[in-house]
Amino acid sequence: MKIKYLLPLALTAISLTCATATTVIPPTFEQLVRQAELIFQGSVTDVRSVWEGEGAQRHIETYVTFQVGDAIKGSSVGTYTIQMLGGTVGDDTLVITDAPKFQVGDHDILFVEHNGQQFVPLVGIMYGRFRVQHDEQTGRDIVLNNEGEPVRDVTKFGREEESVSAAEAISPDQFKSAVKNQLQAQADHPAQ
Amino acid sequence: MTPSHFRFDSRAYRSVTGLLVLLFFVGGLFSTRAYVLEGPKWPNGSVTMQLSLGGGQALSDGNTNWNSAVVPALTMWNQVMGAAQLGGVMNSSAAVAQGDGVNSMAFASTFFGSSFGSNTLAITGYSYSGSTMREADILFNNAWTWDSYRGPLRSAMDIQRVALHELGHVLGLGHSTLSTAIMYAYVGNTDALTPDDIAGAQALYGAPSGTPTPTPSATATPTPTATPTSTPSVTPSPTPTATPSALAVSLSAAPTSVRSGGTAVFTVTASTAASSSITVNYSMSGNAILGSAYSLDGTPGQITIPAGASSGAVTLTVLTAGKRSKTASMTLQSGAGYSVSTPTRASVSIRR
Repeated sequence: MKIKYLLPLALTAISLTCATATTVIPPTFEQLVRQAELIFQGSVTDVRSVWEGEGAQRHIETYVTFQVGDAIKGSSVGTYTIQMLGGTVGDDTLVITDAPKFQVGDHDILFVEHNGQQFVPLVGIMYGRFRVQHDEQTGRDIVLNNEGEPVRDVTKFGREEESVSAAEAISPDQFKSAVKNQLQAQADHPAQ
Repeated sequence: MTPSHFRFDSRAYRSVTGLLVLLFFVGGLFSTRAYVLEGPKWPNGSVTMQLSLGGGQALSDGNTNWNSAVVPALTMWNQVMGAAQLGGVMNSSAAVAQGDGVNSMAFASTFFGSSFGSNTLAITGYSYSGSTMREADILFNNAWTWDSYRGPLRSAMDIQRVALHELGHVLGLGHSTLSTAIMYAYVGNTDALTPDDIAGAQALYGAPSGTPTPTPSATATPTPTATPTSTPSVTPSPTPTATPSALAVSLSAAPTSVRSGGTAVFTVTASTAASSSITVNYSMSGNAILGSAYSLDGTPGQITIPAGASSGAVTLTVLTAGKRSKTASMTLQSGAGYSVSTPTRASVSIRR
């Protein structure tokens, strides 16, 4: 009986300490899907950083090119390049905190918005990038967040600091299926 | 507004610091370090920030100026660092620009022309050459509602604790894996430095000496300067140095879920093969206890990438698994001869 009363208290305590990112508010899964102009799974084929601008506006930009394997929202076929502020040219580096870092060969699922206009053109910046990694033990591909932590429950995005779910990490197909279901739900109820 | 220089030292913060130092020693008995060093740092001496946040409204903590509201954030870091100190120019009229060698804190509607994105509160951008910081700018997104207060978070963001976090980035700290740290990736009710934050700052700049410091109040009226030209000079054109590029190392774990008696492997992968042996530092966190729930092979806190190889590994062996799943998380720490690259953290779920 005590647990019955303690559980709501514990949940209340959790909700009161629910945190938001210092620099970026984590989006919910619904927001990720709704705000994204493009959602696709792809592999990084090129990462190129260059100096751009003149005088006081001179800065480093990085162009990350993906081979699109599966377009889930929007029209992105073949290759797609995102433009991000920051990067390394020679011995000079411009770091934008919280910006994800990409390497050739990375397999990712991206939620893209405002490419070419936003300093990192992903919904929720680092929260709009998911990594796909092969789990040698299970032989499955699984989805990780930008920090390298397995994604277990998309419904918890933006709702708590860290997932405490004991569920298995979800596969890319499961993740994409959840995205498609959310897209369908948003199409059925556009006002929500 | 007249720009003015001041030092952020306060006797008022000594008691706070003393408490934090005490907690550091007590906490050190029970936890491993969790701060993350990004790699570059400032040369010893003063790091001057141009405070161009403006003011003119009453804030909840009594400040009437955004610049004075963030001053305690600089002070708190200064109280715990030795070799470097944050200085400032109050109500600066210096241009807020990128790549000019001037460190700025300001409100803005864009990050130097690039959209913040709807979820972004503030951005710190810093540039460095080799391993030496050259410039850092903190821009707060003026699309959000801001205030300044202590205690639990409210709907309006507390600029002081966000500034405290962003200044940690300016100093060279990444996100801590400890949820109580101000350098944790999420803002919460923490509004001051924690022992982990202090340890991170002192790993970069050492502890302050025992010499008493000057004691203007934390939000003291700044001392006017003769002219605004005493602000940091424009950074000279980048000069290539002979410093070789460090290997970038990232972390993975496989499998990510392991049962009693099982093993998992944390693998550090370098961007290219190491020309000589490299020792990569790491720390452990999570609710699974090292030595009780699991063990790790090799030298504690270190993974070696042998010469000619591009990866090194540490094996986790489950010792005991409870009814509930627990997590062992490894986080790469900075060190000599390499730089850390995402993912810097990998987790293994331990279950019965």
